[in-house]
Formats: sequence, structure tokens, C-alpha cells
Amino acid sequence: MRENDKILVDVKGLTKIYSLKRNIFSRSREFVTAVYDVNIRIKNGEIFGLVGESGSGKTTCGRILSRLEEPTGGQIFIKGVDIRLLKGQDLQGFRKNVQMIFQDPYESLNPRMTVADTVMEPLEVQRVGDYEEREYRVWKALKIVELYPPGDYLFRFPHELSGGQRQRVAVARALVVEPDFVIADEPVSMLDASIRAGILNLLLDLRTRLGLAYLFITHDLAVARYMCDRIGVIFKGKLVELGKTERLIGNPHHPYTKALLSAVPIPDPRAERERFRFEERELPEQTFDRSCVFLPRCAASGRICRKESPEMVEVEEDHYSACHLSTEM
Amino acid sequence: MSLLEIRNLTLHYKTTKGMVQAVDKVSFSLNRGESMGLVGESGCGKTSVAMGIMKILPTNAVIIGGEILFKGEDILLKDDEEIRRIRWKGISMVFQAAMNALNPVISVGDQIVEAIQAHGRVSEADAWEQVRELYSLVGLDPGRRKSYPHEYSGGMKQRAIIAMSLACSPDLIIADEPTTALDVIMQDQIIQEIVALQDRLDMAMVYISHDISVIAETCSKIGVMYAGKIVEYADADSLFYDTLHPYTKALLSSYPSIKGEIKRLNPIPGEPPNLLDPPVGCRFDPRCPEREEICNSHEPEYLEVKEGHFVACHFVKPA
Amino acid sequence: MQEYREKERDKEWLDYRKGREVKTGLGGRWGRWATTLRGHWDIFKRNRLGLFGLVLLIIFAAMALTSYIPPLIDTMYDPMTGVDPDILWTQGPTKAHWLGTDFIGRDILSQLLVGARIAFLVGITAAFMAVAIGTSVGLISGYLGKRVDMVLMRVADIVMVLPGLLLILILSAVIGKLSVWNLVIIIGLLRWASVARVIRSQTLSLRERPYVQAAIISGASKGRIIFRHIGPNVLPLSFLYMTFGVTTAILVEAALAFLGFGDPGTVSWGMMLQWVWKTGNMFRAPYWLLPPGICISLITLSFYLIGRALDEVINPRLRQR
Repeated sequence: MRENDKILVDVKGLTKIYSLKRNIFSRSREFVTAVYDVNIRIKNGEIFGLVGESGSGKTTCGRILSRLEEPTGGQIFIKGVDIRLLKGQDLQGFRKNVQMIFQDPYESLNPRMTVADTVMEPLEVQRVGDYEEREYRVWKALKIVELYPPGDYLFRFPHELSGGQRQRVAVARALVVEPDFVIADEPVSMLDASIRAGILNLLLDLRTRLGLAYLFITHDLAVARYMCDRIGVIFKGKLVELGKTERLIGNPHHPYTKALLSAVPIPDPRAERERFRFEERELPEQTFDRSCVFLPRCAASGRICRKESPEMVEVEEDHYSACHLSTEM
Repeated sequence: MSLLEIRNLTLHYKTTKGMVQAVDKVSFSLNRGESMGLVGESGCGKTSVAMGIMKILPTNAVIIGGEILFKGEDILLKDDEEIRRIRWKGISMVFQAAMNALNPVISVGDQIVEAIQAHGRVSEADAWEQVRELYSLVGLDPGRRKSYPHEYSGGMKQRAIIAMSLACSPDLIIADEPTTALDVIMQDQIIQEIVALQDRLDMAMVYISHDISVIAETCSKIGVMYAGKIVEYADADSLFYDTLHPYTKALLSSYPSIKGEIKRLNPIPGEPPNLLDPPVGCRFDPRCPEREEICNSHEPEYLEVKEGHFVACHFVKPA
Repeated sequence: MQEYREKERDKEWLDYRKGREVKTGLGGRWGRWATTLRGHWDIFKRNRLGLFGLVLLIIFAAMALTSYIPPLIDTMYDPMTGVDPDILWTQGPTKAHWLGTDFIGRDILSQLLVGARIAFLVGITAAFMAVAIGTSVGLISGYLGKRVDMVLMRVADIVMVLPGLLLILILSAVIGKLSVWNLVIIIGLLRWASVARVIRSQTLSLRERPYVQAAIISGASKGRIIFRHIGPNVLPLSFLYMTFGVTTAILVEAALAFLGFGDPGTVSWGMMLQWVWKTGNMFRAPYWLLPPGICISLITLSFYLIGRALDEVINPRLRQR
């Protein structure tokens, strides 16, 4: 096995159920399943895309992997260690390996801290080196994210930076502790097209240069296609299709993936795209024990879909889909 | 005579830091039944143009010059009462966050009825009948017309808003990022709906978006705005296949696509200029890959270089 | 990563270091703060009423400072013990006593000046105490949540519904006369709860901000997050509450003194009013009654106006375009 093929992140049966009190007085609780039985493996230096609509549970997955939230069930191994069991010093060490980039560059930087303070914070918390060493690392990190020359940016406040520059600072903060794994939660969805391309290219270059692996969370399939080696499509908390980017986009198996793909607008007035039928029906209460999650919206459901929830099945090499009908075909 | 004609519209915002030159000499015209897309990054002035057409500008906006002719009459010269008569009936608008503009404690149908009755003597029963028709027109179940906004999904709310904007059968509809807050699939359906309706009802439409691929799917003519100016204007096909302005070229190559081979994206270096103090000469000059000496000092003229294809660049001249 | 170990050889970095040392130590941090404050001042400045409040406040501050002067000129100007040997009864303004004298011939102007000093002392220390307690409780309660939040907020609820003035009256009846400092402590202890409530709700919203979560992901401790990330962002709000708190504290002190529960060893405006009233000069000596009354109204007004203007500074939605 080559070094590159080593599995960095191994998520097994990840489930997150929120229980909400109806009101202060009642004892009954409402359960909302945000993520159900998600299995993902990410190799060293790989970019794995998690694609889904808002409310599909993709952000919850990212938050659990960064230990911002505790999962209800399942196991998560990062570098072979089950991160659910980490405490104290070990957790602190884990924080060094896994970092996160957030969606909104206007909210992800503390408005009262300078760029230098923000980027230096992880180093201070992790007690890396002396002040001199930290300052050098911050300076270097700013250079890596192309805020050049770094000296011009160190003592600025977030409100003095543009959206793209802020997102670069956020990337620098994630990089400065030299993580192996970065969770990027919609890192470009708030940015303008011309700025967005720059951030995407930066993230790609960092992968080649530093050997980072990413969990790239996005709702935009075109961006996912540009960035990712493999893509997992998530619908209502369940992974419905997973495969190599080109295969998944060129030859989707699950009806939801097909619908998503056919809805992406194409920047070309001459392009005609076939539109995949997609029922816009009200979704009833989620029931994971019986029917297929996609059933309420599926145009081609059969009898079996009502009775059994489909398992992820390998339809091609390294390409999985959770649909009764796509495997029969 | 064109339905809407904007001539040299220049609009500034007064702020504590000075005048923001948000819109600078914007001109375009639109015929009955035509659809035009205005595309540009945030802060390029596209929404200001829309608000100018509706005359719903914030109080600190100052119109420096130009005219907005709707059916030959200048909207900017009209008083509030005249404007009110034009809104909804002549021009109506679908906002970016319109779906959040529905009043949560009044049923959606009631809100549409209210809008209908505010603009003409219509009996309550007739108004409800009209709501029923509008609902089926925009693909909503008329049986749901008495539901409250929280009972609708985001896509349904946006459809209801579109129904409301169609209530007085306007000649021109302005859609300002109507699908930005929606998911891809919902966005696609709303876009299809808008395009179909615009075609069927023979309305003119100004569609504003930051996303050039959405514009490519909805509009027959496209204006590209940068830093308060229209830099290129053409029909959709020539804009994409005969791109002339360096900014448009750069914009097109900065979008990833779901089709075709994966090419490395070309980000535009730098940031859009601060409109408090825009660059002298061409406003795109500091970021332009093709810039030369002249761009720094002289503002390029906005010229028709081919039939129906306008460009503001020193290096693109009429044949 | 190899990249970080080339510090000594990285020429660009060495150049930057040199440049940094030539300039100012760690560089423009203080300069930045100054610009932020400048920006705030620019907004404050546009509020006419706020400026008026500030001018009033400066006048009162000047009064408090000049209060040290009269006793130095002549011991008869001492506000508490100084007595004009020629005057035995209250008397209107004269050349020697610009605002007149009180019932035993003490100078009203010097009393008024000292009163300003006491008002500042009571108002600012009591408000500072209330805000300091309230802010810490609100931050801890809001960030830690769960049990801690439950307990702290129930305590706050209890404190909030206590009838403050009545409690002070009972306490002073039990303990005897309260000194000004006791009063300050009691006002502080009674007033923190509403501040805590507001700060807690602000904290609840701030702790969900991505920058706080980014700090958690870097491994920052709870204390660091509370005091480094959330604290500075609620401070403007605390400061606003402080200006309002000052107003209440001054009024409470004046009211207590007037009711006769004040510190007999201190000259405050409330005390002056009590003397006017007790000696039956309420309607006979306007030169004695009006100055402290007007001063109390104006100083509370000034803090209130400043508070309103600050509200506009920290709350951009209130700003006029």
C-alpha cells in the first residue's frame, strides 16, 4: 500500500439525532434525524465532496467530524483514533490535525481581533514555539494564502479587508497548525465569481503543496466537480450515491443525483439540457426504518421502495448507489 | 418606441465617507416582450438600477443625471401618486429576499387579494377568483391559497410572490436575484416558471443576477455591469460566443461548469474598486489583463461595435 | 512541514523583521484602536443631544474638581463644618456667598460643588459594580449554559424582583445610618441582574458565531473563548448599561438622602434637599432649593443622553443615514 492510499478518515455508521423538547412543560420530545448511517472513507491528500441541499445534514457531518458536535451513533476514526473518545490533552492534539473553514467570511473572523491575533490564536492555544516562532509561522501562512506582502495585512482588522481577503485569512488560520485534514464548509458560496475562483485554486494548490485532505461541503455540483476526487451525494441525512467525480457526474445512478445534475444551470445559451422529472411534493415526517428516503419525490418508485430502505450497493467499481431500481437495471 | 429606455443614468449614494458612485452613465433599452439580464458582482450597481426603475431608492440616493423612460415618460420626474399608479400595474418587481417579505400572520391569498384591491376597484369575490387563476398560472395548488406563509416551502413562497407580482398584469417585471436563496432544484423550477410565464404573458423582463449561468438560461439579451457601468451589452449568443470585453471574458472563465472538460479557472486578480473613489480612466483597468497606458487616463466610450453589441473598451472599436 | 524551519534563511522575513523593529515594537495596534475610536466618535458627534449631554457632563466634572478650591480660600467655605461667623441663619446670594448660605451659615455653592463629586462617586462606582457583576454573570451563564445558567438566572430573577428602595430603607433601619460606600455596594448588588440578562442573551447569540467555533476548533479553553472572543464583543453593550446605571444610582442616593436615610457625614445634593425640607425652608429659600434639584435633573439627563448616543454608536441599525 502506498503512503497516499492510506485511509485518513474513516466514518462508520455516523448518525445524529436531535431531540427537541416541544415545550417546557411537556415531557414528550420530538426527534429530528439530521444524519443517518453515513459511511465515508477519505484517503490522505484526497478531496472528498459532500453535496446536498440545505438541511440535508451535510453541515452537521462536518461539525461532527471537527468535534463541534457529538454524534448520536457511529464511529469516526481519524488517523486510526476514534475521535469520540478523545479528552483533555489528546483532544488538544486532535485539534491540531483537523481544522475547519467556514462559509461566511464576514462572520468567521472576530471583528475585534487583528489578522495577526486571529491567525496566531491556534498557535498560542497549542503552545507552539515562542512568540518569535509564532510570528514567523503567521507571516508564512499569510504568504502561503497569497496575502502579499504579509506585513501589510498583519495588523489590519477584518472590516478593513474584502470578502476574498477575509476568507484567505480564515484559510491561513486553518493552515497555521499544519493539519492533515481540513473541513471546508461551503467556503466559497458567499463570494463573487471572480473571487471564488481564486479561493478554489488556492485550496487545490494547498492540497498539492501540503498534502492536505479535505472534506469539501457544498451545494454546488459544478464547484464540487472542479474540486473533488470523489463525491458523496446526501439527501435528508442519508448518503444516496458515492463515487469518483467524473463517473458520478457522467453516469449518475441515483434518481436524486440525476435530478440535481439536471437542475444545474449551464453558462452557455446554446446548451440544451434534458430536465429530469422531479416531483415537488410536501415531504412527510421522515421515517428511516421503512421506506426509501427519496420515495416522496421519486418519479420512478416501485413497490419495493415503500417496503424497504435501500442499502448502498456497488454499481460499478468504487461507485455506490442506494436505490432499488438503479441496481436492478 | 421601446417600453423601457434608460439614458445615461447616473446615481450616487451619500454616505459619511463621501459619495459612492454606484451607477455611472448606464443606458439600455428594452422592447415589449423582451427579456434582458443584468449580470455583475455584488456592489456593481445592478440592484441600484432596478430600484431606480421602480423609484424605490433609499433616502440617501442622489440622482445625478439621466432619465428612465417608461412608455416614453420619465419615471424620475413623476410624483409619488403617479409612481404608485405605475408600480404593480406597469412595472412590478420580485425581490431577492421577497419570500421573507410575506406577512407571517396573514394568509398568502389574503395578501394577494389586498394587493389586487389596492390597485383597482375589484370585488372581493373577483379578487379571490383572480388569485385562483394566478395560483394555477405559477404552478401552485389553488387549494392552498388560504394557507399561511410558514406552511409553504421556500420555493412555494417564491412562487406566491411571483403570482402577486403578476396580479395586475404588468408590462414589465423586474426580477432581482429571485432564486438566490433557493436550492438548485427549486431554483431550476422557478427559472423555468419565470421563462414560461414571461413568454406566455408577453411581458418584458429585467432579470438581475450575479450568476451568469442563470442569466444564460433566462434572457435573450445580456448586459454585464462592472463597478457601476455597463461594460458589454449584446444578445446572449454573441455575448458568450463573441465575447469582446476583457471583464466579460474573465468572468466567463472564472465559472466552473458541469459539462465539458475541467479547465483551471482563471480568477480575476485584485478586488472590485471602491466606488467612493473609482479609478480614473477605465474602471476595470487595475485588474485588466489587456491594459495599456491609455486605460489609466482615458475612460473608454460605450460604443456599438457590431449591430446590437455594445462595448466600453479602448481596444474594441467598431468595424 | 519543512517550510517553517527556514526562518533564519528566509531573507524576506528577515527584512520584514528589521522593518518591524524600526517602526514600533509590535506595530500599530494602538494606532488601530485609535482609529476605531475615531470612527465611533465621528458617529457620536453627529448626535446633537449626545453632545449636549457630554457638555453637561464636562461641566459637572469641572464642578467636582473645583470643589477642592473654596475650603482652601477660607475655612468658612468648608461645605460641612465651615460657618460664616457673621451669618447665623439662611440668607440669599451675597458677594461672599454667591448662592447664599444654609440654615447654619454654610456656603451653598461649596456644598453644591462637593455634591457633584459625591454624585460622580456614587453613580459611577455603583454602576461600575453592577455592570461588572452583571457582565461576568451574563457571560458565564450564557456560554456555559445548562445547570450553571439555570442557577445563575434564577438568582438574577430573584434579585430583579426585589423591591430595591424598600430593601434599602429596611437595611438602614436595621443597621442604622448607611455610609455612602455601603450605599454604593447595595445599589451595585441590586442592579446587576438586568445587565446580566441582556449580556446573557447577547452571549447566546455570539457563541454560535463561526469565529467562536473556529476558536473551539483551534482548541481554545472556555475561559479564553469567554474573555477573548465573546467578552470584547459585549463590552460596548455593558458600557451602555453603565451610563444608564449611573443615572439610577444617583437618583437612588438622592432619594434616600432626601428621605433622611443618607450618610449624615457626607454633603450630597440629596442631603442638601433634605436640609431645606427639614428646616422648613422649602418654599422660602428658592436659592437653596433649586440648585441641587436642577443639578440632580441635569446630571441624570446628561448620562441618559450620552447613553442614547452610545446606543447609536454600537447599534448600527439605529443610525440615521
